[in-house]
Amino acid sequence: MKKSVLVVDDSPFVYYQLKDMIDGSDYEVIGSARSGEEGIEMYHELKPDVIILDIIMPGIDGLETAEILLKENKDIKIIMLSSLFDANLMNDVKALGLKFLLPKPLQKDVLFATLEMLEKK
Amino acid sequence: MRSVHEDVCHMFVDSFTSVSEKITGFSLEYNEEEKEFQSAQNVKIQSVGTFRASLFFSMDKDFEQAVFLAMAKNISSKEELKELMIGEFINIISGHALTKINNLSGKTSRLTVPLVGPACWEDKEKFPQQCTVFFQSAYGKMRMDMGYECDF
Repeated sequence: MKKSVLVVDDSPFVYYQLKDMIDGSDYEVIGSARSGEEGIEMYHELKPDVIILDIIMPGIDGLETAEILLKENKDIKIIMLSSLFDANLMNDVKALGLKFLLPKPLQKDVLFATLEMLEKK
Repeated sequence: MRSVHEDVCHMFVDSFTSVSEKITGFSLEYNEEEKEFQSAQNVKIQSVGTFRASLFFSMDKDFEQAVFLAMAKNISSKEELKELMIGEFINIISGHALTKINNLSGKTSRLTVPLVGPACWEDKEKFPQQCTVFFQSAYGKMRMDMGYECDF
């Protein structure tokens, strides 16, 4: 059975990129949310195996969204994504208890290596 | 040795020329001389924090369309997605440049959500440092105007 992925990003670019990259793999994109608020709703509805969550978004940003989701379920698997990926932001991500911050644009080999590491978490 | 001013401009130029191809598959070259073109789309993005900047981009119709189609990966050509894709293009590349600035300065600055549309660069005069650069691709042209100031 394929693992399900929910994309939360205000731009559709990552959704298209991801669909293109994971086509034919053990993963499938089951939904796309355009804001943190919508992402939380879709998480409740779809219960995806993995969430790919952008940081810079209007409304509640990705860090706040992750914090809300992790309060509900500390075992939720989240990969943070951002065009900005400096050391301070990585520290913010780690402070939430998350390990992965991927730079945009996604690179296929980096994405699959991260998904593999997430499986072993 | 280059000044901070030159370094900041170069970081954005380097990011645009090196990251653009990863997103769209086509390269973007830096032009020192002004290339005249009819602007079809504008994008504004800001940096807030220790590096405060306002960046204003204008691009011609062909460039806008080429970036959009490349980013939509032939999965969609819905016109309503165009502004979101163009905003993301600017967001990703500006993010790479700001990452370099943050890592070099050891300080934190963050990007705002890009605004796409027929805006004008109304806060140009707010910033003591200014730079303007031009880019050209096989598909069209883009201009970047940046005003900035920093605490480092």
